[in-house]
Amino acid sequence: MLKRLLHEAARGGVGSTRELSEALGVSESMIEAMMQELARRGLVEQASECRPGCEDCPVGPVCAGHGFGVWVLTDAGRRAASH
Amino acid sequence: MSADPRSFRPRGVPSPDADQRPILIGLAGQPNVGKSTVFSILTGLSQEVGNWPGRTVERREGNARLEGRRFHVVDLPGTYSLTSNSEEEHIARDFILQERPDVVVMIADAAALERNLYLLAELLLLPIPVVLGVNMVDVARREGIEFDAHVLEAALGIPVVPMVASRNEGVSDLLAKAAAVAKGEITCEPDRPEIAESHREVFAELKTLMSAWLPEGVPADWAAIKLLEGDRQVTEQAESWLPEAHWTRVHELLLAHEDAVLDVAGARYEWIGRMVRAALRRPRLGQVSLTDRLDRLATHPAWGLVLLLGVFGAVFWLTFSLAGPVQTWLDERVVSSVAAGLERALSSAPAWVSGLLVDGVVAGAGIVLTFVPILLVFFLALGLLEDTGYQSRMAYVMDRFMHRIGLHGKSFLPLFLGFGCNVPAVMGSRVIESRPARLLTILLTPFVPCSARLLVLAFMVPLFFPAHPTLVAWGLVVGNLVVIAMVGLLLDRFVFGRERLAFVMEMPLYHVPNPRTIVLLALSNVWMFIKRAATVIVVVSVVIWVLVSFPGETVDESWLAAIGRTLEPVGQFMGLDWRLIVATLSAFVAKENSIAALGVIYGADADGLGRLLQAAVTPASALAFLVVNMLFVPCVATVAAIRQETGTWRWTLASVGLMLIVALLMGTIVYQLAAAAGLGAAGA
Repeated sequence: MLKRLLHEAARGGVGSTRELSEALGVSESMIEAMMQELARRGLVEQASECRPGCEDCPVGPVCAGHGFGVWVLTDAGRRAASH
Repeated sequence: MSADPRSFRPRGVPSPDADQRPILIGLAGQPNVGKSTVFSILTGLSQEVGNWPGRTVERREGNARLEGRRFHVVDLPGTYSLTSNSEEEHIARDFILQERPDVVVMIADAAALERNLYLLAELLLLPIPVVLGVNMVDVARREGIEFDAHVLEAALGIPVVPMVASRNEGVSDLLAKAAAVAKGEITCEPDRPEIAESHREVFAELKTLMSAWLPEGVPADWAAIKLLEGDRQVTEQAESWLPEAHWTRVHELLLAHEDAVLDVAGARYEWIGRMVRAALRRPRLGQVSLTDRLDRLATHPAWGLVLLLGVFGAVFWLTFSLAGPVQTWLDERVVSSVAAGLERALSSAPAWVSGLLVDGVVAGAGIVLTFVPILLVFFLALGLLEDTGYQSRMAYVMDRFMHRIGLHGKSFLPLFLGFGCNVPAVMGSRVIESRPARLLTILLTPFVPCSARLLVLAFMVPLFFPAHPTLVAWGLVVGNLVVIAMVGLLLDRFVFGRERLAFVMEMPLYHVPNPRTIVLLALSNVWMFIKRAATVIVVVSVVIWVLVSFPGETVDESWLAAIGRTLEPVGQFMGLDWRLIVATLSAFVAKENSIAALGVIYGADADGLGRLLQAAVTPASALAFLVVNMLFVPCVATVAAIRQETGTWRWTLASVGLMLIVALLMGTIVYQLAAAAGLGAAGA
């Protein structure tokens, strides 16, 4: 299940948790739980957390970190997905 | 996998029934599931707080009583799993393996059961019976999640107790079930996650290799699974437990089955999926929520884009309708009035003092002031889009297009901002996490025709091309966008390299926006921008004023004019004389300066300027001049923003150099083509 999720997530471009839940036939909550599992294993990371220096950014409050979560594959995740 | 909790009890340790000792309960759960509340209700004032031996993590334990039976409850640290990733996870599993509680009570959040059951999947591998308390069923019900404890109990094969710990509902029942399990009155026959078929053989071999060598209390099933999923601690321990020949074989097997790491965890999620499908009922599929209905349109590949373009069009319309007139009013009434008043007040002062303050300081500060309406409308619009939850859909829909030039969809946000002003657009690039994509966005942003450039375009095109202003202006804007795409493709291909970005977005639910939040957000952001941008712009404006004003009396004798003449050999390729070059150079302070510069150089007002320009400048030169002005180096405020965002002068100069090269190249191409088409003579 996690491998399939990683492969789906690694296809490139933006995928939504909804698309992934439809592709894998599980709930969105399940997808979010599995993304967190992949994050604990260092295969994905939360990309939308504001970086240092964003605290005084004029568009900081409307940037992704505040509105929605974005997961991105790490190098290890890309390697695992390519196997 | 089978670790029978009923058969496992360390030698010499009597059952709680045999000696009437308190039942030892390990209270487990993930963080934020209400475990502490349950612990407090169970133990009351008997709590003792210390540290776990040799650790800095707090150990809380206490006593409980129910119907004459005594319990000793140990609150285990909140953990997501029992893999040795953290100190908390070490403590929890070491407690279970070494201190051997009579029963583990795991608390789960009913609204996040998928997430919580992972820990249960791991607990069930250990030889201790488990009782599951499903907490916050009231919260889950409010979210439309119906949870059937009996079905889950049957599916899991362990006792399940629905609870609302915050109201002390179900806690006694939980304790009673724990006592019954500990006393053997309830038999646990847990359903455990299956190991993937491709790894069953190796799993069996690992068990065989290790079973005779494991310390007492460490089940072979559990140790084999932990090895397969790459548990660091168990792997290190296995090397010391096993004879060398066995370890060598184990090591070989693990290397050959590295992919088992994800398969083991994946099997747990498949197991979780089966459990929740049986026991949870979410809103029916046909009962589509408002978010679902809106998303059918907003994230649709075609309609989503149409909606997006409509939203952008509305933002543009709002900006030009609301901010444009206010910007003009501020420029004409406030900035000009202040400048005129200051000029009068300084009439007796030396000319350079008046010039410095009026044409340098006030003009520079005035530019900052006139930015405010545009920024305010943009921030209000963006705040609205964010607060409704639409912003994530924007990025999602745009992504497939932006990928063609190596950008993530979120690049569209700063590039879009660029139509208002390049400065906040460059700053907006912070929403992009990938540094190459962020740098690419920063380099492309100044190519976006900002409102000042559109203003210059709207003013100049009718002067040069009174017969076809709309066609020429439209062609220039489209040309700009084509240049952005071309430059993006080239930079992506030859400078940054194709970065294969993959994102998974969580789409928030749509909300009714809160006007107060949006207004406060916009105001605070505008104020922050003014504070930062003002200083840089005013200082640089003064420097440019000095170049324009000295050493001669007129612009013609200024240092800037001298620079213009020096550059005339380059300008010849584009049909630009030094006057048009200087007008272009003056745009460095602010794009709209080129209009004023032409007026000063040709010594005419707007009406007379048109006639003079048509007589003195050929259509080919005029076209090249407009193209160069659309693509010329970023204004000083944008340069300052690029320096700030890239943190280096190298990329700042790269941006300036890139725009200069593209502007000169495109200016030359356009001039040569236009001249070849017979537009190289005045009045053509």
